[in-house]
Amino acid sequence: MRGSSIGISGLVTLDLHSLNNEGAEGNYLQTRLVQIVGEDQQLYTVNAVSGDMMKHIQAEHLYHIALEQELSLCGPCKRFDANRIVADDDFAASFGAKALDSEVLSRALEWCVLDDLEGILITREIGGTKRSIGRKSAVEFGWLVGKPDTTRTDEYFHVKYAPEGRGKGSGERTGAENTGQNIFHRPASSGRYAAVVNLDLFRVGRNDITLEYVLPPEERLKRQKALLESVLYTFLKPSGAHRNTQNPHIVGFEGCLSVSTTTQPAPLTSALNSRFIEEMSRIADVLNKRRPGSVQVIPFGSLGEFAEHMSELIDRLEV
Amino acid sequence: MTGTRWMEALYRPVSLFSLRTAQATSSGGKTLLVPTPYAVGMALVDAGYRIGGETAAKALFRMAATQRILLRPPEEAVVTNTFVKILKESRKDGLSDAPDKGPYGSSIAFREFCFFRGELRVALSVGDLAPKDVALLEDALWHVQYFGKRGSFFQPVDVRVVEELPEGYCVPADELSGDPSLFMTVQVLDEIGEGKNLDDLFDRLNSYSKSRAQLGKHRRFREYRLPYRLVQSSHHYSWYRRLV
Repeated sequence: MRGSSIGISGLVTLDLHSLNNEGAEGNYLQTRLVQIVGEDQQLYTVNAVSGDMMKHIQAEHLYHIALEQELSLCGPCKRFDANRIVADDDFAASFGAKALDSEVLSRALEWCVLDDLEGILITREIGGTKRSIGRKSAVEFGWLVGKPDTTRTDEYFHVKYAPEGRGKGSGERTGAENTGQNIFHRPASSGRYAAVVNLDLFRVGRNDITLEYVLPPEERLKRQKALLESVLYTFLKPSGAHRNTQNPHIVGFEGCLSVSTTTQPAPLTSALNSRFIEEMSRIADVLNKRRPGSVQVIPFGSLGEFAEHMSELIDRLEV
Repeated sequence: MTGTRWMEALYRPVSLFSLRTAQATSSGGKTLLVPTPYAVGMALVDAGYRIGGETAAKALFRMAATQRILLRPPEEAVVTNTFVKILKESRKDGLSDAPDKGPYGSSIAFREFCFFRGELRVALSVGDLAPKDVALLEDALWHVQYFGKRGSFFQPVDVRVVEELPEGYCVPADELSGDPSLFMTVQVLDEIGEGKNLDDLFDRLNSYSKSRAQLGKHRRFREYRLPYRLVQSSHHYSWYRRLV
């Protein structure tokens, strides 16, 4: 199956997590909250995980897959440095004067799977010319937003216990070591979260300037499969914040996958809508009337079923 | 809106929307409450590249630059104010200040994200377009997946040609003729401007070309009246409801 794009819409049930926090005020850690209007037209404040956080989780999984499968990585990406190929001096030095932006971009794609799939803005001097070359990511995450009726955030009280001198506060001795007894308030959120992901498989290994593929088909297929695998792992093991003591309980995942085999983007619906699977199927029917056989919708009712469908897609993928 | 034929596309919001106003800095990213005509134009060009490469992209750019583009925001919008972690390019030259760290440093920035309830409508005038251009435009509108910041997904659910548009479309401030109290929110939206010719303009607005676009000329700003009224707000959010 030649997949052009893939959409994932679903409700993931996460319990007792603290994957995404906005900051701290004093000893209160504040979780990320967003305001939404529910289906009953009332305003709700709900816990959410930003798309940036989700993408960071996915990128880390992709990094480990790339190391394991010996996919090409630039120097900084081998250290999982967020600067990616921009901080790679060898890459910058590999160009002569007057190298075209399209040549720089092609070589970046050849050098590194992370720069290819996750995107990068190349902003440095290369070949004697200051550059600003954008590479858009092939994977896009929307916000993970809690459903108002089933998402709650509580706080729990945590003490860093100091057996001696409990009467003294945080700044001991010189006041800088923070060695005394301290109390914290930490958030723990539980609920059903609407997730939305889009994967543009057709863009893997494609130069955004020349619109030509710069990688051989077998390499593009390897990268497409690695991308799908990393997205699967994102939901199996969401490696966000505070997992040392608040690794989330992933109770379930239900929703649907949409697969497009033409230029028509795979449809997406928000799982905040209680009839989102039905909506997705209806939209797919409309799109298939326009371009017969272009879109397939695959519902799933559990995390296991989602993993099975993703695994099947990975196995069936062709370029 | 009468007097011409329009192609009207209905989009259902899928995730939170964000599109920084042109005046915002990277540290203080206030969002618009609606995509801009310029953003719609760029989304059509992107769809064109996807459908039929540069030929289709340029044909769609020509339409976006010459036809009227109007937007009708969803029934309700709730803007969440928040801080996010970002990677920010160093102001110092090149990598000299911290060669071991690279050009990007970790920082935080103010961002606003907008939740929409209802459907976004985008309309383009098609009265003077050739049938093949109308067909291409329809196909492109079905291909648009997001407006503004990546991940601000919208799903097209219907695209049709109509003789008349419903009320509730944003109006340029200098064209407002109805009841001004129904268009209480004012925002500056950007539009595709003018160049020597359309090829020159396309080249200037192309991120990968060497030609530079001038703000106010090739990409111009215009005050729009939005049919939104602020219903409720706090330091953390602002809730708007469409009046028409």
